[in-house]
Amino acid sequence: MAQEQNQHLTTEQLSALLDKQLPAQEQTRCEAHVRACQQCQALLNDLRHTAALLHALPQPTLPRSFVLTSETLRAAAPTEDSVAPIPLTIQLEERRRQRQREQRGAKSRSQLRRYILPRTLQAMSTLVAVLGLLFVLSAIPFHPGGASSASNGSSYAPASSTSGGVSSSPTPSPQKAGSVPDTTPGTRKTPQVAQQPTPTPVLTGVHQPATSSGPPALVQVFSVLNPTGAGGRAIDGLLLLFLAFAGLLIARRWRVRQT
Amino acid sequence: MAKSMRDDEEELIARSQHGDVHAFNQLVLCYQQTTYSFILRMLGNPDVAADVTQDTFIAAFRGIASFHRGSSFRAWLLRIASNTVYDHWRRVQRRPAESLDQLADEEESRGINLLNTLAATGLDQNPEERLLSQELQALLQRGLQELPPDQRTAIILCDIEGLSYEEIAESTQAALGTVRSRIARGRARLRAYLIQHRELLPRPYRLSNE
Repeated sequence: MAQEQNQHLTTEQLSALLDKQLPAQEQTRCEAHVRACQQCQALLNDLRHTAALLHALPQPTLPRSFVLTSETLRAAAPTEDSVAPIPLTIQLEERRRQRQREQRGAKSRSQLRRYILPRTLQAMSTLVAVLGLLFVLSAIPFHPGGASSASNGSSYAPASSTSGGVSSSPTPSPQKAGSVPDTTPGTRKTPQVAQQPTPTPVLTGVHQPATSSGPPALVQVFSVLNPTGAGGRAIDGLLLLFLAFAGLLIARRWRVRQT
Repeated sequence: MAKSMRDDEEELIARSQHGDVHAFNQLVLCYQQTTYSFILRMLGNPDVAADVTQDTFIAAFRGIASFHRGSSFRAWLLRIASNTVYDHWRRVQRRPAESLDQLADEEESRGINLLNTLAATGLDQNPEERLLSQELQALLQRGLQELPPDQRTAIILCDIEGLSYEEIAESTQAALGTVRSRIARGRARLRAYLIQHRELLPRPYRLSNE
């Protein structure tokens, strides 16, 4: 007995003593020891204070009511039968994952309409816009001196020949482009255009400045769109920009409507 | 009176087991304070605690058929609550990227958010004392957070929620001896933590300086 009293109590004994959770005999023995032992007394007091501090913590205010509504139950996906609580929590998580999967599935179904189409349109419109901008920018005349027309002609000749190579004769272009500056009306070309079949107007139009007056309306339109001339390129660029803008607008509307 | 309340509860449980959500919601109203409080003390983050509490009640409603009548409903409910908390931790661990963010968030909000929540909980004393108690509450919460989960669970259930050792054993599905030792080790660790920060303790709670 004396030996037992000399031996300090374990934390577990002291903690259980606090809650009166020791068997009756052990409880009385431990109480007797604590009365005699200052060290155990101090530890017991500390444990008591620690527990008291926790006990004194106020109840937190509820952020909301957790009453189950049909919505909360539906949001957690319905079950056909109820199962034991431990598997259930796992099940609940499974549901959550399934829910996510379902949402993802639904997404992919409407994805084409909601995401892919508008995105594609947007991307294409952006491309067109960049192209248009390039056209407009290239139409801004560079005059690093007085030799603009000559430099113009020589620099654009190969360009027109490469683009013209798709349909027919690139041969006249170097001569004409070289001789015809941006602003001069191409009166010599237009009769040629009128005689030739449909693909050629485009080509001849290529060398045509925007200001030609005499030729038929179709030819005039083509000559207005002539990308070799600065004016034509500007108009082409603006048209492309307009197209791009319209495309972007439609794409945006689409997405807004979908969301 | 207590008996009639107990009978009422039995009745509500019986109806819930037949799928009556309204009856179950009566139980939710009775136990949501305890459940939320337990989960908040476990997690330390009010927002996450709210979500986990909601999940707990959904899981409880789904699993109420497995509840054995006659045993403690509170212990059973808190068992589901602690399972849901562990599930949350597991989920957070499984998604590292998100978990890091979340942990950072939790860490960040711990200072402000928790203080606000705990401050909102009351103690209408003079401002100085209130400030002190806010600090103390935050300190205790941080101390709880330092404990291993099993000790934290045991201590919260015992010293904050006031469950008996038997109820805790039922709730944590552990033997009485295990519960006893978890509570003892939890208290001892928390005591050590508080001693480290004893300057924040009010005079009557000063611990011995060992």
